[in-house]
Amino acid sequence: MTDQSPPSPEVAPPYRLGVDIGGTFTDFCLLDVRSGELRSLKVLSTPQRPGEEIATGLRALEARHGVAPSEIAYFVHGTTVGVNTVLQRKGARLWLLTTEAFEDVLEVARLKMPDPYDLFSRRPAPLVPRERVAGVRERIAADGTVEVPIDEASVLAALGRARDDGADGVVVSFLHAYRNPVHEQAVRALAERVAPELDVVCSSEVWPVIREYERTVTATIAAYVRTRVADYLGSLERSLVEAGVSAAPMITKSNGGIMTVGQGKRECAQMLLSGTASGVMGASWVARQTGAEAVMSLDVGGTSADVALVVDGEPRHGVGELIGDFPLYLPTVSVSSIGEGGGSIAWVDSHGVLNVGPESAGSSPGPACYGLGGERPTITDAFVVCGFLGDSLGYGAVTLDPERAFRAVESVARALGKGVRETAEAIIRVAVSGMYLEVSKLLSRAGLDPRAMELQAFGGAGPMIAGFLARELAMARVVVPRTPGVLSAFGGLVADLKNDFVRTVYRDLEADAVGELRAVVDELAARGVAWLREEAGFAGEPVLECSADMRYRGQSFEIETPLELAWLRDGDLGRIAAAFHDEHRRLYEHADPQAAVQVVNLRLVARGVTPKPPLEHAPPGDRPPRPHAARTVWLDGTEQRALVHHRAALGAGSAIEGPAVVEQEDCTTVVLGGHRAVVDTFGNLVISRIAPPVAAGE
Amino acid sequence: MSTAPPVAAGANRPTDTVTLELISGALQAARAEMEALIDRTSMSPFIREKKDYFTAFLDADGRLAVSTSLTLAGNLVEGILEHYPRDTMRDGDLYLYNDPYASRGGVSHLPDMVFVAPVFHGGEMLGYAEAWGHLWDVGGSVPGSISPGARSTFEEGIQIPPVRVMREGVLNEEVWRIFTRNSRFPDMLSGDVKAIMAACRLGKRRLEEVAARFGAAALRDAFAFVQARSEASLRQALARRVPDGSHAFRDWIDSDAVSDQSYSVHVRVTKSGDEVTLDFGATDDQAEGPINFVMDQSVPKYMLGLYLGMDDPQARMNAGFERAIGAVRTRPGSLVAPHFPASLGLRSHTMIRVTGALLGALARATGGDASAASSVYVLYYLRSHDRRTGIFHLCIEGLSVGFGARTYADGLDAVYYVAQKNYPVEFAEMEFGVRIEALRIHTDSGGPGRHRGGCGIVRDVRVLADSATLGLRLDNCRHPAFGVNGGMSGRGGRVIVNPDSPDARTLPTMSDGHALREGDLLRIVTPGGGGWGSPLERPAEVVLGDVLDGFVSVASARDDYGVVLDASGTTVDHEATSRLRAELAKVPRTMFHRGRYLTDEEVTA
Repeated sequence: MTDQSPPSPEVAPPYRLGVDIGGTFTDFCLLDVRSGELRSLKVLSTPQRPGEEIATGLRALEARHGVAPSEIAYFVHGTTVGVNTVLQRKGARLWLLTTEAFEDVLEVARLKMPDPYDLFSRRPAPLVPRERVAGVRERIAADGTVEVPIDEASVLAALGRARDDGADGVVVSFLHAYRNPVHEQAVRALAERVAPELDVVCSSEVWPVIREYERTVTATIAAYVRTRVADYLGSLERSLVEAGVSAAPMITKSNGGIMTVGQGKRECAQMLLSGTASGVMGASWVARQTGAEAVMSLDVGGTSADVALVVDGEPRHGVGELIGDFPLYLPTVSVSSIGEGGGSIAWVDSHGVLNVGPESAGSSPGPACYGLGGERPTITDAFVVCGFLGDSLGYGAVTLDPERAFRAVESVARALGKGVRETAEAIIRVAVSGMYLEVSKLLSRAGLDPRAMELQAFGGAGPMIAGFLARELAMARVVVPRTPGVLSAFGGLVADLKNDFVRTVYRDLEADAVGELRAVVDELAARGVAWLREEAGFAGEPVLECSADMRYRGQSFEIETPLELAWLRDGDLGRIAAAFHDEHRRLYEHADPQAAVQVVNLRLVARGVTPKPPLEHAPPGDRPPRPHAARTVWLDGTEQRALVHHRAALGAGSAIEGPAVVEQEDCTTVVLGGHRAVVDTFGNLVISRIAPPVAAGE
Repeated sequence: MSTAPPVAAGANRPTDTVTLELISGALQAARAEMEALIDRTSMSPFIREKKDYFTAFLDADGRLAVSTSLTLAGNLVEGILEHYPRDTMRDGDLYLYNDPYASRGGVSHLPDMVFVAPVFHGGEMLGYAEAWGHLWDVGGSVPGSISPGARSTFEEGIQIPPVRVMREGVLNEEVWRIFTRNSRFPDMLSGDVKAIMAACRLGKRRLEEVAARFGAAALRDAFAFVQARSEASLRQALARRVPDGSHAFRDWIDSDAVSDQSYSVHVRVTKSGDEVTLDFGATDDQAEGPINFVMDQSVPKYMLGLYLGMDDPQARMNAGFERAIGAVRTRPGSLVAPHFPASLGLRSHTMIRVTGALLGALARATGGDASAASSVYVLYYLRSHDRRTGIFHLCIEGLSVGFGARTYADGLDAVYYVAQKNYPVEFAEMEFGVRIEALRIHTDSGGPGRHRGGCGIVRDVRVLADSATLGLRLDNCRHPAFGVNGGMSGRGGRVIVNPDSPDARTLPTMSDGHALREGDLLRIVTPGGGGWGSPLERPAEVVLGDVLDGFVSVASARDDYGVVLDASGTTVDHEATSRLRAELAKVPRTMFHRGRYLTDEEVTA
């Protein structure tokens, strides 16, 4: 649609800008390529007038830092517009065409209840109601052969009904289309002839893998958000041009990579979870700096806390992440919500027991201490009462009123028959215990031991609560990056061009499969290179990473096993099988080298590595650093004296002993007693225990 | 009653409610971790896809404190203590059983293998960590061990009474060898058992950590605290929702799969002030086929606790529920207290009817304040052989049904107890030598009501192999899931071979051994759940939505709901609807409906 050739770095102006639009704030992270210096900025989001916040932010960058829009050579952008379209049910009016006799595919789903033990649970209404589903007489067999040729009359009838209904688009999802898309393509061709105004999305184009429900729901989500996302990206392009930014914008993707805006307009489903994914990419970058093998990132905002796992510098991926009520089967950086955010409300139930959440005061009215009308105590209020927070938050956007926080917590303290500060600390502990529950499940599923892990905290409330959670889990250390408030925007800056390719093969790993495996991997590789060259305009050396979804014959699930391209090209079945047995053993502690192995899907990631300008090292800091204040805090059931430091005043090597508080414009870090915080050469604040843990652990 | 008394447990940590809540949270987390470990490391599709496993912590007296909300068994430790008194147990011991009779209902059919680890701290017993999972095959007459045709539990696999499989951390190899020798798939069994044992060890370690951190006394208090909370919650719910009185209800299982005879579960719920008792004495005699259910007294209490406590997050399934309800009487030799060696493989048909009978009795006691009945999940076993390729296929597929309408909402459509995922059509066609020719909602199967019962499904399966034999367990056809408070029953299911053809034949739905040939089309139609409240009170626009979505036909909208649609079937004719509803309102409706409205005598006799 538009010509997308990123400017070459030699002649480029000196700035790279990452922008992440969230529900409340839009974050800017600016990198000066010459000095490696990072600057950050937050402005309020304007969901009613998309694009306006970017213009506001660009003006602020110019005013505060003297950076003209024309000096921005590289612009990376993430947005929640797609996800909000699903959450608010404001997407396209769609029709769904299925194989005849399978029209109920979205309603039957895969039987699984949203929450099997919740007797209140309900099935969400599908994005396409059953009355707008039409069956088409056609059938592709499991081996890809055409068993019943497509009945054009039934297609035309369905398209006619869709057009008469005022539909925006049509989703086409036929059985076994991942193996042979000819019938889905036939529908597209007919639609172009008789109803060119309809936006057609075929399941075999979005993510062509076996499993009809998963493929259909994914194609449906893709079609549902497409118009709104494409419109949004179009208006973004226009506002950038108007603002004088000549760089062609790049869009962050759910898989942790980036793509051109042109691809973003067509393949909107790929950017649905890009905001959380690029935060994790930022965390991965920091993890590579600190050299940690296993990291859990903790992003706590006003209403929720999200965690992700980063192992050996790479985030964990998965498919089936939820977009609102619906699973999206595209490779995505795995991010799990563990519940509470800074605005979660504390309350006492009918048994006299203190609870925190799930109700949240959100950003409006917000915690009681914001003075915006909130009266019930939140986690943030508890931190205020315990003395950890100063008098303002978020670049001075919010002024804190400790008196209101105290009164709010007092209401709960009375019900518990405890002191106000004891209650505030109890609120923090109960909130942390809730996070502990979710995190320990997650780590157990991933087979990771928290005691050997690093907790990386970001988001407005993450660094405040991270120390408590890390202590509960006996984690090795807490790291607070330099720009914890804008890590998603930063993540976009350091992301690579990246696209996923897949093909279902469903073969036993035997000699007669060699030819097909070779042909498929060659095709995927060719498509990967073509994507990098033609779609992404990438001139560098392509990186192709191959894997296969494999299983023992009869197993009901697959394990993604990394493979080398050469093994597939050379037909080295021994190496392929060995890689699977090893992976199986690693995950399940046993393997069966005699058993037959199946390859269900072959997958390929094409990656174009973008230049990573070295970041400026933190200048050496005072040893010991000079606090700017001292405060009385309530911690571990007693009054303690805590020194308060400005983050900006700390330099490399600065060390602080807890209890202490480190303040910066967009967040506050709490250093617990018995812990020491040291600034590393990159400017990260690294907090670890001075003494061995007193708490749980072996 | 609602909270345990604060107890000092160390200098700086008195056991106040916040600490108790923190310990309770840690126990929940640890139990969830045990589940995650089983889920991640087990092999059996039953465990991975059907979530057929259970984890728990019990206090030092063997009473359930924290557990999975599955009401299949109770009384997990008593059978062990009979052979291994508590003072002989040591740190590092692990006990094993799968025998429902010898464990006295600690487990309810043989594929569920139970492991129990006593946990100590400083020489003092803290409690037990427990886990079980449904293994793929434990021997018996058919692969998968469960057969609708079994007439004795000896046909259902190896029976292991409570034995000590580990002493102070040392595995008893002899027990292990006997056990694995009895499975057709010893490797898969061994993988699953390792996963469950690892979960037990993890639970044990977590309990020790909690004791080290908070003190053994605080942990004891926390066990008492969570139990007291559940007890208080259930007592409050009973006092609030159930008036004093005595009410009975009888619910039905179509057949025992080896005969044509139907069986019933009968319960009498009696409440007098704080005292609630349950009497199952009038339940039918035990069956010859495998629907017998060795029901521990705790099981119906857990069912009531989970149902009545569903809006209270603190009402968790544990011994508190047992204390809130008094005596449970069962009659030896009956369906819920069978004599050894009655077969047990399909006990969930009876288990789900125990829930149905309890809901029915509650509805009678409360004037309709209870859910309508749900149908039992469906399984079919297609064992085929393709002579051309020499390949044997074993297709065991679980199919979804409709659940009962709730007092506040419709029943769930197309779900499987508790959480199984179905095989995708595309996978089934690759694996099982079949072609799936339809998968759709079973229109009109959800019981009409103000809240509609959930719908079942229709699945058409074409046999591609030369020949196949078919086993079926599809209930609620002769006795569909009942409707409540004027709501109507769900529609039953059926199984037809070659429908819409001259040689169409209907098969008995609880049965085994049917021969099928290449090209035969098998249509399996699953039943729906009961409706709640009069269908005439369902808003006409909601009924229209159901018609447009394919859950309700135009005819049923008219005949059952009194909603008349125009000729296009897309808008409500309000005037005609008012007339018809006024007419239909003259039809007398009673509390219960199964095929027709039933009298009180009919549901209790």
